[in-house]
Amino acid sequence: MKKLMLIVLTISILLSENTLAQGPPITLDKPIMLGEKKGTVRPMFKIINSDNRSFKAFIADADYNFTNTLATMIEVPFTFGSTDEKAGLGDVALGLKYQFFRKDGMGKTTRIAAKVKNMFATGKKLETPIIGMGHNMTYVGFLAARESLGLGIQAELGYNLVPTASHLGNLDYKLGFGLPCFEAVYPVDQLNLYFEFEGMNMAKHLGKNQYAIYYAQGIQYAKNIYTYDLSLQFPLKQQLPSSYQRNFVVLLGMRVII
Amino acid sequence: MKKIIVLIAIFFAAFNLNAQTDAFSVRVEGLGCPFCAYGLEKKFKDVKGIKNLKIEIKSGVMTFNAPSANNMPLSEVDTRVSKAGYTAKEMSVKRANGKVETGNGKKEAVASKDAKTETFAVSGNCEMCEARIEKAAKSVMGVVKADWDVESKKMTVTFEPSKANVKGIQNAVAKAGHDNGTFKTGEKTYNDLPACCQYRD
Repeated sequence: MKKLMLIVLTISILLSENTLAQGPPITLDKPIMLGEKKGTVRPMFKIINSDNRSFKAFIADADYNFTNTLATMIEVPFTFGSTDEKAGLGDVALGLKYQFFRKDGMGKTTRIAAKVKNMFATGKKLETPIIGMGHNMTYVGFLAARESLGLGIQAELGYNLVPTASHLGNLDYKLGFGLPCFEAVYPVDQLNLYFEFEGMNMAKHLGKNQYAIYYAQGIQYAKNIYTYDLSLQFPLKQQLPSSYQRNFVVLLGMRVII
Repeated sequence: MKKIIVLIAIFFAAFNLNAQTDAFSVRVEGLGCPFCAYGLEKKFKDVKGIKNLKIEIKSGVMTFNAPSANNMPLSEVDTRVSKAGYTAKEMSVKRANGKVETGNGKKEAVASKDAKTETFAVSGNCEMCEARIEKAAKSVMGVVKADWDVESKKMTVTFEPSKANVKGIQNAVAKAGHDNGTFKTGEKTYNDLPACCQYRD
């Protein structure tokens, strides 16, 4: 609780400053698409640590916009660890995003998109997201963003359906704030701080106080068409099945607009 | 000697071609983050010959030069901004022949035989102001034509008297940020204008 209060206090102090503009969120997805026939490529490296396991994964992530409101995405993770059991291809994911709401103003925009993503059971059977669930999993959710030259707020709400193992289904919700350290310039040369929360409730335990809330502190350097991201996520509260538990997740990655 | 003359002729021809460009200016709404502006930039850099593309993040103003031979219409600018995922407002182009066109992607209405034409002074500086002033006037129901001249600072409006009057048009123009004979713009609205459009000393 102390941690949560400290984070909220830090965000409040930063929001009270005269801040200007930010870049794309780190641990959340975004409803803002960068135009028809454009896309981004995002290679990243993740370390996922829990009490009894630790994984390292390289994830190749890309999205492409068919139109200015419809995008497709692919995520290909490769895991490597200390044992053969952990090494190899993770769960490949394919998805679609459709932006159905857009309200633009001078230096600000509000967007909402629907997202469907299917994670195929191409990884090991570890009941661990990204690394290997052992089951096909479908995510259905909504993404929302309110970005202005003063503040960026991103939110995500969705449900992970696991038809062959319904007890692994979970409600996933995220909220993030992006704050720049310097005044906005174009071409971009910006250092941004990210304060991102993720919550998860297991379907089987809904209403039974079985949930987790994570906080990710991120930093991003954006220069021209590139961003370089570093984020550390850790639990504020965690009462979940052991395969879902994590002590910390480190994300180190970059993205480039194509 | 012949070679030198040919080279000089090529140089002047090239120089002349380079000068034959149309200067576009468009205010883009929805640019909430500078990184997002790359999608917009790429959408215009796809067009052959586009040069000097600049985006001013705070005001959302994008400017660029396109070869006049392309004769790029403002409707294409509107479409490209839209396909980049943003909203185009206050578009203007100064053609190589000096002609200025403004617009916001909508077709102009046709005046009836009862339509009246009036002229009054409106403060402003540039083509961005021109686009904004004319747009504000045209937003008043019954206004069929609005033309503001950058040099004389005079606005000529044609409107249907049964639907609109001069005071109503002047009020709309003042609310958009431009003082005129009857109404003065509020401080906040004025301060929100891009720096190039701020006309008060």
